[in-house]
Amino acid sequence: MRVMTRAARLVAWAGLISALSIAVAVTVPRRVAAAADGGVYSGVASADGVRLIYGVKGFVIVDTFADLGAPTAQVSVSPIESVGFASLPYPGETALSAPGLVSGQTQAPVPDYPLIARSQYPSPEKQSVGQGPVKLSSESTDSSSSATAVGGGDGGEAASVGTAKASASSVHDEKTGSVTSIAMSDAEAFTAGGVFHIGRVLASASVTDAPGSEPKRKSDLAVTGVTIAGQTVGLTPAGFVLPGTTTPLPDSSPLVKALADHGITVHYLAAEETPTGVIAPGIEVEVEHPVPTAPQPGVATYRFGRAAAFATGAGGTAHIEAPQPVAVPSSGSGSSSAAAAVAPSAGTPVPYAAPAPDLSAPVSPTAAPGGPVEMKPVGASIPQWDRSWITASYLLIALAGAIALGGAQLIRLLGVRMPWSS
Amino acid sequence: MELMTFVRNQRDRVAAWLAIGLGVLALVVGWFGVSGTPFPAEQLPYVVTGGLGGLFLLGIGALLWLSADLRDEWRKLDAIEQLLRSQRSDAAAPPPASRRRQAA
Amino acid sequence: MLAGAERRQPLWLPGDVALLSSLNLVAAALLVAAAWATTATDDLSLRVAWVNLGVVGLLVAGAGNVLWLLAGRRAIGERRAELLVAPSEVGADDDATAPTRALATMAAPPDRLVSVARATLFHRDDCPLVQGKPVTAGIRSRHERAGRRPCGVCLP
Repeated sequence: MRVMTRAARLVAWAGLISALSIAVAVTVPRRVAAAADGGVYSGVASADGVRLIYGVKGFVIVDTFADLGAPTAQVSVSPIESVGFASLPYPGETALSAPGLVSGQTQAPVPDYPLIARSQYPSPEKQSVGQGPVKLSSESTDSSSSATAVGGGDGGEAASVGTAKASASSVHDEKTGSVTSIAMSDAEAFTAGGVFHIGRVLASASVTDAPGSEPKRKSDLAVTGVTIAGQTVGLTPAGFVLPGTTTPLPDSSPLVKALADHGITVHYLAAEETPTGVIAPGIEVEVEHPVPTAPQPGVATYRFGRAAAFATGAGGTAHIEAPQPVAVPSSGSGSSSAAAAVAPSAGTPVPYAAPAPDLSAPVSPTAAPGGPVEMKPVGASIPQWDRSWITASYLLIALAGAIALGGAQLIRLLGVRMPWSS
Repeated sequence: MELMTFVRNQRDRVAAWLAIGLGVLALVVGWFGVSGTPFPAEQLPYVVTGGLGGLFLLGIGALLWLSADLRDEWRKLDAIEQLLRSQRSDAAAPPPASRRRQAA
Repeated sequence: MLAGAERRQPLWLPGDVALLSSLNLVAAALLVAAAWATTATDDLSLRVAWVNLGVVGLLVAGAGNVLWLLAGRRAIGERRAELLVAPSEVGADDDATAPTRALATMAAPPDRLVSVARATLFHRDDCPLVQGKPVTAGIRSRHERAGRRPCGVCLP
């Protein structure tokens, strides 16, 4: 009786512990996840009309002298803050705060940087700046921000841009908890080296994330009016094509040679998806020119498109997904027959390079001058070695299983024959 | 019928091989899951279900296998004891009472 | 000699069975919980914590299995020590092998110690308290491990 009671007690305790552990496993992760995500929404949108990067490799200590967007529009919406700014170009926080510092030191009034409009809820909710062709505006409410920047101008002898526009907006729907971020960049009349011309590059990116559902992403790129030495061509991910054809021009083609002779290189940038958003496709034009006494020529890089939008709805989770190339449909109105479709081909590599917004810190335009807002990956950063470590651990588990079986066989063979008793 | 008889007589060994087979299968399936994704967070469920679950089943299989051998040995000891007692009852041996232990 | 029916003594006691079942039940529950929880959350650090719990479950199962095997091994060892003698204790006989010598010179088997099902005492096989009742035989150490005390009548 005593033995059976003890056994029954053991089984009862085991059942209790088992039921408890299963109950904890079922409820705790969901509650922790809900607590972590409840109310923490985020929306970020960023666009540059055109981004200019200039540098000379091996000339001085730094290779890149300038990296700025002109114009630039960025917004960020979260429970912590709702901010936006439009600038042409964005000079960086140092330049923005310099007038105040100098004025404080010298007691002489120093005008603030003029070509920027900033807004932040609750104050200032709205700001606008206009000077000639430059129009900058930004507006913020407690649950949304939007910014628009229009500008343009002559870039110099090497290249020039006509008009460029950038707009960004992000809205949090307090009823449904969903967040919608939209970014758009538009550049017209780009000319490089007097031989390469792009009529218009229009890129857009949008994402909507509602709690409990996958983010809905959309991106688009339309490139129209591309000519090389006056010859109309199309621009595809595979390269330049003649109107009505799909075969890329070979390097020996006179048109491609004309670009090379002027130090011009054109790249297609495929769209990228991140766990919480999308980066639209883009076009990158590199223009080389000699620099006296420099070992290598200077390179001015003009990057069009690449509007970026990210969103995480309240209660939504950051899903860890592998990036997929976005199938960009042929652009609709406003595009000519030449080089409208820029859908990436199946073989186009899509590097996973774009991080998602940092939910732990307020996102503000304090990053690299003229560059996009600094963003960090959501959740734990996953370096490559983690995956290898887990894979190696699994192999160790399998090895442990083999050792267990082998050990059992050894015990069978040796244990019986040995004087092994307690 | 022979198979059923064998299964009935060697229940523990059949169960052992079944558990070992399932354990190996779980390990293999888990390996395909682990190697099929680049993200550690997605690998972890496969590590638990395929890796740890497979190890658990392999442990059960090894346990049943060794238990079967122990039971065989126990049955042999039964047979030995039976043989000894029958020999004793047949032989003209001193009665068991003379070997009764004295209480301390 | 016994007049009643006699059951063959089991290798493992009910307590051993209960211990093995309990520990493996807990281990299985922990593994199921870990498998469920790692898919229920997207947080990497939380998933790692649940994997650790699964490892704990595996260790619990391993401990239960080892205790089970050791209990069986001990029972066999004790019974073998009771039944058989070592060849060195047997007189030299060039014509017989060791097992044969052991059997030939075997003293009488140890006293049979029996107990009635669900009882708290164990007796000699000729104890009047167990005459005519179904009993289970076993060596002294087995009865003691099962929590039984020696009978005050037959003084085993």
